[in-house]
Amino acid sequence: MVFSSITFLFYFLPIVLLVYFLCPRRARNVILLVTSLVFYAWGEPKYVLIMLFSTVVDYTCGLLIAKEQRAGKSGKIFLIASIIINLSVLGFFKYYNFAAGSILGLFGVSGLPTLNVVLPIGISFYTFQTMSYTIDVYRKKVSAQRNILNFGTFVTLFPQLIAGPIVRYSDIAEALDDPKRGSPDMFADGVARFISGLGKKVLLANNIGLLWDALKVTPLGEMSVLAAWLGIIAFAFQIYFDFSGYSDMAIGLGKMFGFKFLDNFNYPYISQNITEFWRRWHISLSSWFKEYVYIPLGGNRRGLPLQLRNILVVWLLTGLWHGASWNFIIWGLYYGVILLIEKLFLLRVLERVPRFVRHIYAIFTILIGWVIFAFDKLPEGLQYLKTMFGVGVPLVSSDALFNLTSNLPLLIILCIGSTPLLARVPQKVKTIAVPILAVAIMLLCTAYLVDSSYNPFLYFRF
Amino acid sequence: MKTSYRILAWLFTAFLAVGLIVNTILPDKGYSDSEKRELGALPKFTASSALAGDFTREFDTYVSDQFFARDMWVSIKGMSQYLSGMKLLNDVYITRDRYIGNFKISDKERLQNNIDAIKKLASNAHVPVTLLMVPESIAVYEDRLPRFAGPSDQKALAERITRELDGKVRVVFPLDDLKAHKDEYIYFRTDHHWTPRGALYGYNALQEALGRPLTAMPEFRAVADDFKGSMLFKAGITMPNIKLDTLEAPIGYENSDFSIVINDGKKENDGLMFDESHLKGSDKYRFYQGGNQPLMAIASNTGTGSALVLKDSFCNDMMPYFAADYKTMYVADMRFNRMSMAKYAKDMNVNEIILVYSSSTLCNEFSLAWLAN
Repeated sequence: MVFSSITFLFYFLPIVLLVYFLCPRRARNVILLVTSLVFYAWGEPKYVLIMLFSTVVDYTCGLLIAKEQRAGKSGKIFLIASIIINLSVLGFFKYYNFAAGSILGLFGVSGLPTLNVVLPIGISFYTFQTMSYTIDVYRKKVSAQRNILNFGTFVTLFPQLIAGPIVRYSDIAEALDDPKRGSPDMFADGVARFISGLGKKVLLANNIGLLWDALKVTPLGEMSVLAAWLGIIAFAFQIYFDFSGYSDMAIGLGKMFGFKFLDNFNYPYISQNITEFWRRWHISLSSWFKEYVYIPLGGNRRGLPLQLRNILVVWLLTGLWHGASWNFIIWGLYYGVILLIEKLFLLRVLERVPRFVRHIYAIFTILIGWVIFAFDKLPEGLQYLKTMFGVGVPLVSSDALFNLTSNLPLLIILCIGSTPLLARVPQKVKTIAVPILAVAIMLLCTAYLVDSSYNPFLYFRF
Repeated sequence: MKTSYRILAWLFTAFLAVGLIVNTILPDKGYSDSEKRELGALPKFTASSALAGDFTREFDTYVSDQFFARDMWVSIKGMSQYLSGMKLLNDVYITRDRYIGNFKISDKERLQNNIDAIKKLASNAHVPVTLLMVPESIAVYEDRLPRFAGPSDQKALAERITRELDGKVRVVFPLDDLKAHKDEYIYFRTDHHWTPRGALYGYNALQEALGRPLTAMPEFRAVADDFKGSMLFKAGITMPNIKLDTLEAPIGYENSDFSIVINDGKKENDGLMFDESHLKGSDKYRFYQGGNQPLMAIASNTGTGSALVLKDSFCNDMMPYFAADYKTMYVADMRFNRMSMAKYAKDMNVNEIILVYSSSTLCNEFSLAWLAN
């Protein structure tokens, strides 16, 4: 199930809220567990078993690590078991076919048969979440969870199940065991956050996505420079407002149920260099890789050559995490290399140029990155880049101008929404404006969701 | 701050609860007039449908289709997009006085197939073939489109088709004739079709090319003045500045002038040139011949000669003039027919074959491929 659907908003959520707040506090985790399983099974009826398997494995490994450690041993064997099992599940469902296809493509031999497996929703998120648990138990950062229902609630918690943020067990361990978690004010905050995320996703991301959809089907030879830039800017806005909107909805729902998830985005498009961009974009993922890959590899403490290797390893994995396809690997390495260059000298150079130049540099680099990200067929991405730089195409075209003018108000809203301007509005104004705006967003989102199945059957069209 | 957020939280939960209760209590609707389709119904829950994911998918459609005040929400959405500056909604331009469907050649391969099929028909047929290519209204009303809106390339399309058919098929594209009369009521404001007035200009261009006598513009009587056409529903919003359409019938043409046999008489009732029973329905354009019929044989006392007409719905409000001019006419719609039209023309011993297709049909309609049979 997705948050931006009639089923979720007008059936699932009100029923869950009703049951959750009417039942005794002790039963709340079980209610969340059961409803989260329904939430997941709604879209993936069979794959719910994989998630349950993952839950049982990591619950058991956590307990065994703790038991070994009480006996004075390290418990490393169970940590390794947990990591191998998690990565195998992820590897099989997400990367098997890619690997099989790549072996065929690179070496011309079909070493592995391709299989008809569909990627289970959210698997990249929940395997990372559960791995963080066993690793943290091993590192004695958290104590092992004895109650499998509480642990299951952590793994399956529907607010962050499908698209993050990647919530670490340590972030919510305390709230999970606390039947008195949450408060009316926290709930109210959560509602406001949820509605703002819903608006970002349904009103902003989906609408600007229409522009990207319309432009990207233009045969590449017929596209103008302006259309290409407009298209990738639309994509940049779509992916940001879609993803951060989803994170806001997750964080808001978490608050409604008394959990505090960490922020996942911090106005990434105001960044002035790429190092800053990655501190502001998908924070829960980059900090996960930092904590569980970069630092264990030695981070920056073992000399520059090893640090450079570590950075490239992390970015190769980051690229691969985003999808099983070569363009994601290249996208990750693209950022790895740029971060290296920034670390070696570029950051120092940038300090000496005006602020707007730094900003243009960052946005330019990010947009080129999105081109690599958006086309899973590399030649298409390359052709698109050529179009952006005017190789053999006209500068402007009437369809680009038409799309620009008809989306101008939306683009202005998106620009403002990408900055902290609105957050800086004085509290007094917010007190009045936020609820009014939220109600308007709620009504508009309902209209958009109802409309999504509006499908006039024009059998008499011709 | 805290109080206002708490009020918001109450409003939010109340709205969800009201939605849940109202949607559960309200009876489900079956047919949607605005969408011309059956709305989703509550799916039956079975273990196999749930495991396959069918149940949840159908349930999602069901709750969206059956949401209370659905048409109101749909128009709120369209209106908000329009107010935010978007003038092209669901591929329909919203202009100051009419809805104009966008026109693009989206599938070049299909267009080529259709041209080839028409060529094949001409070489199979024993009589001359003429194509009346009906312009989509966007070509006539280019001046009404929003700034920078892409020009419709119908003229180039017509030139291409003429060139490719290379004298084997006579092509008539009456865009200039229609443009000369664009201040008259020649296309519906809310529908993609031309009106019977516009159809007459197109018809006379055809007749002129065939060397047959022209038809004088008759007087018209209004039969309905609240016709909501396809473009209005496709766009999803009712614009207050765009008047609903008047459906008209030419005076001097009566049902009794024509005898229409539908599907070789396999249909119980004979056809009507003007079928008033559809004026109360949601698709009032079906007033003309009751909508698209697979096959009609039309006889009139007034006309001369015979023809086989292969057509789309743009021909429907042109039919009275057509049928009055020919003694016998056979009219087929390829969407419901796969028989060989060259052979049929021979069997019926007609003098000529006339194709009446709009630019869109020529580009998008796959069933034209059967013309090659």
